[in-house]
Amino acid sequence: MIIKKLKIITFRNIEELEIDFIDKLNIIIGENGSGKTNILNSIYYLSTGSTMFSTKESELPKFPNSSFFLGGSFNRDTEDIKIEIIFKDKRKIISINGKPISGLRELVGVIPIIYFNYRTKDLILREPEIRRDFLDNYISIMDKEYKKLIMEYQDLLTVKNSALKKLKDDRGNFYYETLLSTVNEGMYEKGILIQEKRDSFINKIKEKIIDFGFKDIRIDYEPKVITLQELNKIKSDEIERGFSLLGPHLDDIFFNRRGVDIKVLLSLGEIEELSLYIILSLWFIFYEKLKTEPIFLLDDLFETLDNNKIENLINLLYNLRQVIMTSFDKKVIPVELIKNSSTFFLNRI
Amino acid sequence: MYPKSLEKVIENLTKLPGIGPKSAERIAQFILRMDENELNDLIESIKNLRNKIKYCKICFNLTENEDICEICKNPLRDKSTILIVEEIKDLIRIETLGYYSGVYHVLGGHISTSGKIGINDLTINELEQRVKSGEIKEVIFALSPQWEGDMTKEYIKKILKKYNIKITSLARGISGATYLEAIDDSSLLQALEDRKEEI
Repeated sequence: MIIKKLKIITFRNIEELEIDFIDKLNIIIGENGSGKTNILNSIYYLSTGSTMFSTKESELPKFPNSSFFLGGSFNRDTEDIKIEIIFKDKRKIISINGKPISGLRELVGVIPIIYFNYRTKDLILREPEIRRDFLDNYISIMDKEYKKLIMEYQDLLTVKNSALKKLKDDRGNFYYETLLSTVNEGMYEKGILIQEKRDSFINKIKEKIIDFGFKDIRIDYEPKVITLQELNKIKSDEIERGFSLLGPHLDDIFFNRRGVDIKVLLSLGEIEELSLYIILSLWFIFYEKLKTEPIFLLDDLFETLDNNKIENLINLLYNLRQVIMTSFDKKVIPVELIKNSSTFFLNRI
Repeated sequence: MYPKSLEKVIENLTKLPGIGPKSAERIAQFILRMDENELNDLIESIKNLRNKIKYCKICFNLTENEDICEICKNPLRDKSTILIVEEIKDLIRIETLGYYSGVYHVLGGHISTSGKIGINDLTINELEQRVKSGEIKEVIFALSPQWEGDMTKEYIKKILKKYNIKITSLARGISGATYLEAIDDSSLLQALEDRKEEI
């Protein structure tokens, strides 16, 4: 899978832009504020229909309360795929080959994509919610069923929390008690499936990370396993607190070396390197599952990794189908890399 | 830019379901060219809709100027069997088969998705009151075959469990259709005939 052409109109800080990309390496060079990250964000948005950093959609147009357009021409083997997003009157219309889609699930798997940027390390450093978002975003890219499960589970969770709040004020209310037990059964059924899929995904990452040479790093999935008995046991506790205390919405991943959190063992540079290789492992996982090479977006790589680490990586990058990377300065990019890539220069906007 | 009053009509039309800006523009242009009598007729009929149409006090079907709908009033209908649907259009769909002789109950949707429709927004209490009255022998679920419809069914089943009635559901697996309106007549009829008892 490659992106051949990208067109942007009034998206974030970009007024109007059209870029042709090549197969293999593309490097976008520009100062901070020149819009290079937003180019990557727009490609990610075209492929997933969601923003990368949970930015509100109303904040995406360049001018407040206005509209934007994104268009991408992609190619998979012999097939051309055109995706367009028009955001107007606070609504977005996504179309594939000119035909509007009815739900985001139709976009799943069409344009597989992986994205590394300065926030990827948060996956290891910050709160569990970021790790769950990581799982949900990336498993959804390759698994329609997962996307559906997650959306339904979230709906059930909302219904459950509202039932718990009602029961807090009105203990023993037959109708809300009944609603709670109905919702619990649904969450139990879907929760198990979600956790199975997460477990198998994390296992695949684990295997790849070992292949990459991180032999002593362990990536342990920590699911908050739902059972109906357990749900019964904690029921009064849940009612007291007014929110759900069990299920995949509270899962976590523990990155460790022999049981010790790697946050305290590794330097920031090492954590960034590991997080880059986690994203890179997704390239292979997607390729195996979807039989097409994901587009690899790499934001500010040269500012993140030191030179000897970049050298190891470059050989790997050459073997990928299409990579789009950014940098603020041509001087920090190895000459050899510039020679073998298509380079764009952006002026400060 | 259109003149203000035309813009206003377009803006209001886009609030209707299924009408995008382009359709709204076309409809507004059409209204502008309409015969005066036809236009007045349209305006009048829309106004009447709100004034004359009511919900049946028993089953929440639509009625005209009456408290009770034609189906609930009909002495030939079997009042001991209730078919539960989400929307009035589902009731109409089943009626067009000309097969079902019982009465209905329109829930007004299903327990939502995104928590916007709670159990109190649906006519579940009213349904329970009907069952409680003791005249009901069977309720048949004909809810949307999606997880929201299933969850709503499971919830209502639990509520009605204590009353000694037969609970059945339309047979499944008839077609890939997700809504009653999309299922063809013979399959729908089959689903109704083959309805299964819920455990």
